[in-house]
Amino acid sequence: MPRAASPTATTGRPAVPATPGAPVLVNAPPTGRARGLVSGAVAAWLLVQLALPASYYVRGEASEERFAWRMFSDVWWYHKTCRISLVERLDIPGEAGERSRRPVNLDREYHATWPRQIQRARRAVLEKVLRQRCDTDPAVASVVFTRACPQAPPGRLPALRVARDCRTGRVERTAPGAAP
Amino acid sequence: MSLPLRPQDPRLFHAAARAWDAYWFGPVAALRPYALAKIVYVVLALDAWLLRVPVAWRYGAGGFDVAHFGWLDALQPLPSAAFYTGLMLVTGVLAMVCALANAGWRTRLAVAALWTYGWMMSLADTYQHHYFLSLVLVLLAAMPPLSGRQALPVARRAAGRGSGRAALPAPLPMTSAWPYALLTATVAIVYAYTTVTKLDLDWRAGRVMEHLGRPRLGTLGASLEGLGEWQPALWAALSAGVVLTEMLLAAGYLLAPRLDTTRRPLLRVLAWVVFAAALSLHLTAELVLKLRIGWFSYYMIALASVCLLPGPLLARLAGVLARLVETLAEATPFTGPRAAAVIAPRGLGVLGAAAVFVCLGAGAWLGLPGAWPVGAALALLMAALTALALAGRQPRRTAQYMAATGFAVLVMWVSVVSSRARVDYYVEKGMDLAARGDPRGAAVAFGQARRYQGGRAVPGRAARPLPPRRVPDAGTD
Repeated sequence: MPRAASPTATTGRPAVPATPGAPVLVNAPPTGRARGLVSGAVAAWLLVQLALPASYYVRGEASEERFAWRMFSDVWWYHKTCRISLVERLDIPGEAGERSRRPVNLDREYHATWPRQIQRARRAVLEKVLRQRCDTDPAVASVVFTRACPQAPPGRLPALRVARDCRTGRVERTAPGAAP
Repeated sequence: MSLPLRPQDPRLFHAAARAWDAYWFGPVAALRPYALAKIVYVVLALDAWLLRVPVAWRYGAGGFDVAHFGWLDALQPLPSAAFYTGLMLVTGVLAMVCALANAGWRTRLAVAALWTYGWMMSLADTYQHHYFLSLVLVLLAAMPPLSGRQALPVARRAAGRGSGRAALPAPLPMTSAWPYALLTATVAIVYAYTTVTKLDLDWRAGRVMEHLGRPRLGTLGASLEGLGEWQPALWAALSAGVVLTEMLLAAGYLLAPRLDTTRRPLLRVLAWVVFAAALSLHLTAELVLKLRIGWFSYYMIALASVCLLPGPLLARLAGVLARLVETLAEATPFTGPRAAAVIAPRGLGVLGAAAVFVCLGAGAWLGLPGAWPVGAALALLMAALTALALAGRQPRRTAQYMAATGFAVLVMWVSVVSSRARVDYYVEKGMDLAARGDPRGAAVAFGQARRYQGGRAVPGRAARPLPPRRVPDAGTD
């Protein structure tokens, strides 16, 4: 824990001013090869900080706004009005239709944080929820998540249907109107 | 007549290289990176204890959690409230140590790593400003070592002691600090992208701004109705104002590293304008719109103050506090004539025992899951440091770390027990259990909340009402 020398290539020695009247620096800038390395690190950092948020606009996945500095965006606003549902289809011999459908009460099953993440259809959260529903009850044949965002402009947050077949583990993402 | 420089002209390359070096490695007032580190670490410590610990219940609640990244999900066990609480307590203690004891880069990097893991471990926390703080903490870890004596200007007396002449204005100590310049550039990038966010159609039209602002207007809302068809234009104008403000902030932070060396009065005036813009934007967000964004606004106001205010003014503001801190430091046993007594074996033994006691007591009496293991671990660390110091391994520096850690733990304990942190933790736990069909568990949690609120439930009497139910922190902005 006692302090070690910083790896930032500052010399730790005051810089002797090259010209009279120039300030004496408490910490001198790196010189020579160290300066080159630091410059490279600075350039790499800037590149990442510029490229990572920019990738949001190239990816075309409107919902995933993490690391894009999109605080209180219009997408955030649209999500607040999205309607979601999670329905389990049960494999009960002799039962069909509505009797074999069991809606999941998300507020009851999960902490209040997670329905909001599910509303945003975060892929990782959705996949885990669907897998968990399948694993929790062997009678569940499939789990279907649907989301509709009427307030969003067309194409911005298209309606979504994600279904997981509990027997095969296959996950299918479809557009609205697809056959259940 | 000289010809224009061609792209492959070496003079162009050299000019660009000089400009690059001047920007990233040129002098800045040493007070800026110094003050920035102190402020960020203190606020981060309090943030971890007072804002993050109360929401620890949500981590792993109901046996469900999803990390930010798939690889982390595969590696880590299911988080728990106790683990998250312990993590935030330790993060805060280490951050406070960094503020108090001029910690080395390894300790500062540890703070960055622990804080980053704290939000990475779960999508229950998607506050983008927590990610921003991770970037700030990494850059703070790379900052050059600076002490208060190096960073603060020292007034020079005019010639002739007792001459009665006033002290000469103290020159600002300067330093090269490329991490500081990189931090201001990062902030500029953040503001630039937040500007881009607000160029979307519904933002430009004012609809998002209306959604944020209208519920907060209160009685003003009625008068807005009188505007009739001008209402949309008003909200659109407010949105445009936000966009222009953020563009100004992005530009201002790009100029910040050169504020201390510029001779152009226009730039200094611009810095004031940018500072005022930062204040207005973030105070509006916090006090008018009441956005639930943790302490993000205060971090940004602190950044603006340190990066944009004139150096001499900053020195005057910091000077009062610094003199207080120096007085306290001189009064402690680690400097001056009493240092030898303290770092003598008996002094170290007493200090070590006190630090161990403080850590154990704080852990045992915090009343939160995960606190006791943290207290025990810190107590073991103090015991180990005492042994190191007694063995002659940098006794003065080790004693400073021990005292800083003990003091940080004490501040942690006082902050948590005197705030709503524990009440909010158990209220959130109770609300979650009640919503998920566990009324018995909820009742126990609410009972614990009442206990920390300051009143025990007495059988036969109506229980003292809990604090008004706060709208659950969404964890995401």
